[in-house]
This record gives sequence, structure tokens and C-alpha cells, in this order.
Amino acid sequence: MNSFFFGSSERPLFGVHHPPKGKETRSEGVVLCYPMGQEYMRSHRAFRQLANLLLRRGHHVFRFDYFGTGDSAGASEDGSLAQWVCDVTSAIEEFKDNASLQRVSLVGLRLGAALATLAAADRDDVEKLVLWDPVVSGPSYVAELRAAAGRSDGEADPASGTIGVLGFPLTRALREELAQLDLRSLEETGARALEIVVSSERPEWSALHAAWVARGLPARHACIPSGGNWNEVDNFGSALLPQELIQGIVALFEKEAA
Amino acid sequence: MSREKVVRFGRETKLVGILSEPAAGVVGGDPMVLLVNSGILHRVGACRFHVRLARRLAEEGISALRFDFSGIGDSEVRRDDLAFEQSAVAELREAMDHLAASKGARSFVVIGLCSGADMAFEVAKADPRVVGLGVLDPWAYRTTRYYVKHYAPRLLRASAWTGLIRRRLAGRPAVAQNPGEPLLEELDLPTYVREFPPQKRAEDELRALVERDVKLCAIFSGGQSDHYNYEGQFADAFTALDLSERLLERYIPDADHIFTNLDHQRQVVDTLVGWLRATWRSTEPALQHAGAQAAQRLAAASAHG
Repeated sequence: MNSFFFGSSERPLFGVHHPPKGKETRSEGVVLCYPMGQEYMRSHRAFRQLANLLLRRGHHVFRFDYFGTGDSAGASEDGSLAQWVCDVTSAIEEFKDNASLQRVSLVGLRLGAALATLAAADRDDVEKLVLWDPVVSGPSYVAELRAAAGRSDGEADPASGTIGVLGFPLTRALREELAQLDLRSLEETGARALEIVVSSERPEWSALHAAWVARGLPARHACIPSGGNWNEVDNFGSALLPQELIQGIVALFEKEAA
Repeated sequence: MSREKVVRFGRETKLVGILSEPAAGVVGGDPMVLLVNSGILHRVGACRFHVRLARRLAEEGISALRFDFSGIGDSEVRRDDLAFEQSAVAELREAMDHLAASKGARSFVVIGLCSGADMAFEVAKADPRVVGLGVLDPWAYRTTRYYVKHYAPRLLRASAWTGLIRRRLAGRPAVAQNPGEPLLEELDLPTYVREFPPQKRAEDELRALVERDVKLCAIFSGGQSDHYNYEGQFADAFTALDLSERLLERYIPDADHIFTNLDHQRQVVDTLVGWLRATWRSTEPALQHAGAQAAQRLAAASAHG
């Protein structure tokens, strides 16, 4: 495992490259895209495990923090959708250079799935795009975050318009960007395969699949019942490890190799 | 603007951290700050608290290292069978050794929340290079005044007389797992059940730190109200010790245990930065700073009638 900062010196991003272990090295690297806010905290462990399982199957794996998140530069208030999509692009380029890869797959959880989808739209080097419990509609996601925030933290600061959501700021600017987000309207993708992998049946996820299939996009939908309550917080800093779903994602990469 | 870089250290196990340093040309010097994991949350800290604090400290000319204990975040899993309390202390000392060798650091302030606070106390006992502790929701002991505050409102409510409330401070599974094939060593998380030491033992250990003139900033949230419910309770629980010159105690009653409210986060960061600055970066004694804050609060209280 090699951890380092990359990107511009004004806005360095933190990344971790996991080289493959084992006899065989696959030509397809995997970039993992975290969700944001408390969902990021709760899923960090799951991403480390997913990385470990993929590298043992011969894949290079890269995970990284977006600007204004994790160990990357920027205050938590400074993140934006547009910036984060650029960060996914930077991460793919950094990873390909580092590991001498021609093609990558992307695995994104919640908002990370949406960011990966947007970043893949203009690329021709994305093999698989795995959307794990994806955020499909920005407005629905904001409503979800507001509900999670509760009354005390959910009221916007009058001066800045920022809402505190389970310990993380949701700025007015980010809410406005999210208002425009709807993955169902995606017309085309550079990815060769779109895999929607979800922990439960939700209408928005089956609607996303249906919308993409109707447009002729190469989308599949699999439900692996498991923990999906990502946006939770308690006094113990609990992590969520939906083992069956993690293994389901790993299996997608095994099938490719077979 | 602070500078940050990835650091790797550890004799047996590779540990990963991020060192935030003052801008080039600014002399940092002693003490350096170590930020300790809370539970299994990785080094960015609950709600990214460690990142925010480390960068503020670097702006103040104080270097801060946030790192992951073995098995947490990006650090490797240990192969020996040390209990968490032992490995945590060993790894904090390795972090100090690393900063001593690479940066010439001679003294350290250790900051942590909950189990991180417990480990801060543990390493302070073990290593004389620790000169200060910034502890959030550390162990606390009920005093007479605690019980008065706790029970007085309840005695007036009939509902308080119904039912039996049993309270325990004990660990809870930190990881919610689904059944399935085990992921072998990936599940090898450090385990730690939080139990406050007996008060007498805590007092003896605190006395040893007082004799070394270790400074203490203790911040309590309302999330630990089962054990703490007024500012000053920590000092009241240890009246046999002379803490007055060494303790800055704060209580944020509306805050939850991991300080999710953004204003509370700012208060905690401001308090810790102010305490560090006043204690180690100013000619003014720390307690002048604490005294000034107390005076401000009194003035504010008077203004509000």
C-alpha cells in the first residue's frame, strides 16, 4: 500500500494505491469512490476491505479523498460536485500513470457512485462502472440529508445558508448543485458495463436501471440484501461492513477474469 | 498555510499518518501534537475533527500528527498479541520516536476523544515526553454536586419514580456486520471495552502527572451526562490534587459525544488551540487565558441578568 498526495500543489488530494498481491496481475485497475459526509466515515472500513479483496485477485486498486474531504486539502465547506467530478478524473489519471494501466473500472458508493458516473461519461477507458447504493436524484438526497440532520442541526445558518448534517456542513452551493443531479437522465456513458448493486429494493434504483436499459445503456441491476444505513451516527463511531454485498462486488471482477 | 505530508513509521507494523506543519519558514518547535484515534474511526477523526484541528494548530506554528493505530484506517494489522491498551501506548511512543528522530521533537501534547482520551492518559503515564493532554469526554467521576444536579429535577417528577434504569458504561460492537463469509484478517479490528478506572487509581495516576507538571485540557460533552453534568466536576472529583494551575476544564452541555454540531466543533477547536497557544506559545500563563475566559463568561452572564 502506497499512500501519497497528488494533484496540484494548491489543492493536493490524498490517495492510496494498493498494488496487486498474488501470482496474477490483471490489466484492469479499480478506482474506489467514497461517499461524502458521515457516509464517508461509516464506509471507510468497508472500502479498505474491498480494496484488500480486489488486490488479492490481482487488481491494482486506488482510493482517494475528494477536495475538502478526508485528508485532502480544503475545508469541509469547500467541496463541490463539479470539483469532485474533476477529482475523480485526476485520480483516474494519477492511478493509470502510477500503475501503468490502460483501462480502469470505477466503484462508487452513494454520492461516490454519482460522481463516478459523471466522470465516466466523457471517458473511453472505463471498463466497469459499479454503482453501490447510488444517489440517483440530488433533490431526494438533499431531502434525505435534511431528514437525517434533525431539527437542531438541520436549520441553515442564516448568514451562510449552510446546514449541519450529522457533523458535516451541507452548503447552499452544494445543495444547488445537487438540485441538478439526476442519474436517470444520463444519455450515454463511456463505460462498457454499468452494474447497479444495491443493498435493498428501492424504487429509485429499479427506476434508474429501467431508464438506462430503455436508452440502450449496458446496465444490470443486482440486489444483495445487506446493511445499507450509511448515513447514521452514534456515540461509538460505528462502521458498516455489508460483507455479502462487498463480496458481490468482488465477484463482478472475478467474472470478468473468468 | 500549513503543509501536510504522509508519514510512515513503526518498528514491527507499518503505521500511516499525516503530519501538518507550519508554513515554510515558520519555526514550530516543541511541543508537537499527536491526535489519537477514537474507537475505530480513522485518523481524520470524528466529523473530520482531527484534520480541522491539525491545520489550525499548524497555522499557530504547532506541528500535529494524526495517525492510525494498527488495524485502524490505513495502518497494518499487528501480528503480535498485545492488548489494545498496550499496543496503543507502544505505537504512540513510536510516533514520538519518529518525530524526535525526523523533526527533533522533545515534548508532546496528546489529544483524543473517548477511547482516544483514555489512550492519551495511558501514554502520558508511560512516557515523560508527554507534557500536555487535551482530552474530550475522558473518564469522569460523580461528585455530590453531580447527584444534586442529576436528581433534583427528577425528584419533582412523578414519572421519575417509575421503572428502574440500569446504566452501564461498556463497549458495544463497533462494527455492524452482516452474516456471510468472514473476511479473515480484514476483520481483525482492535477491541477495547471502555471502563473508567477506579477513582482512587485515577487519582493516583493523575497525581503522578501533576508531579511532572503535565498540563490538562478536559472538554466534556452532554453526551456523557450519565457521568458528568457541570463544569468543574472533574476538578471537584480530585480535590486532593492541586489541579488549579494545570487544568482547563470546559463543558458543552448541548453537545453530543462526537460533537456533530458545527458550532460545538468550532468551540472545541478554539478551546484546544487557545489552550495550547496560551500554555506553550505565550509568555502568559495558561491560567490567565482560562481566567480571562471565565471572566468573559461571568460578564456575559451579568449582561443577561
